[in-house]
Amino acid sequence: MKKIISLILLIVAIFFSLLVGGFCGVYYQKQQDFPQLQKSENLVKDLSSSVVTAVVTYGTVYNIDGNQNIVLSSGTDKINIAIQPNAKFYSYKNSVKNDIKFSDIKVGDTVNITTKISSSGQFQGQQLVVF
Amino acid sequence: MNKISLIIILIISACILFVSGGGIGVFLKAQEDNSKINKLSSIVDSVTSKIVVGVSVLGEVTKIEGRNVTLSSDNESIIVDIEDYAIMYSLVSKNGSNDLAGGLTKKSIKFDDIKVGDYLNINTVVSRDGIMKANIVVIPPSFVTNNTDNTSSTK
Repeated sequence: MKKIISLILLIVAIFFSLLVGGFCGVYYQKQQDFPQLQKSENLVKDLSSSVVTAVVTYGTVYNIDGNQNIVLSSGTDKINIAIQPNAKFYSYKNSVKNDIKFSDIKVGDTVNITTKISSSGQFQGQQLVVF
Repeated sequence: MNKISLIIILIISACILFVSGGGIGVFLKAQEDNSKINKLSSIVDSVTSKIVVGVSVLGEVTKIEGRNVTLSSDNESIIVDIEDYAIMYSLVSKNGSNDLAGGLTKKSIKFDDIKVGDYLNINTVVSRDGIMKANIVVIPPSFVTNNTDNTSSTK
């Protein structure tokens, strides 16, 4: 009986030591300063705040998927924009503005997309103009 | 094995387990941090890419420190660095009154003209180090007249 209790105590002590060590490790790592991470977090927070009314993007449509996601490119840069269900679409032909549908947008089109940035950093397209 | 030896072995084992646990904790947290850093880096890369031509901000000036202006809206604040070369103007009614029905005109302003309490509409670009740098600063008209019911509302 005494042996069993000792064994249980030993197992508990092993888990306890590991657990306490694990918590201390996580706490230690949390204290580490990552200035770039902090800066980036602050930037995303700023960009998704109500003070920012729009983020304007301009480029060539590189890819379109079935979920209304558009990959916009300019040179070697590419960004993914999730076009919102209530987004508005226009085209300018010969300086005349026309209403268009999402399905009218083609790969290779030069577009201007007005977006908002969500708290998770996703570009959310609210208005798209094809030139 | 006597009791003292057993206790010493137990203490050493506990220390080893504690350090191992610590190592695992550091590793797991570092993994989490790395994934966060990668995700945020990708967002910053997108925002500072050539595709993003401007970030428009609108808010009330709550603090001015050097060339840094704090803008607030709905209890959220951001700091914008007004570049020396920024184009700055206010939009005022053509006839000088609060009635904007006659149209608006641009009135050039200087940085010193910006005061706490002003509303600013600013076009910025985000630099690689995550600072929002203003290149166009506009003070929108203070009063907007609604012609249909002839009422005015302040900013």
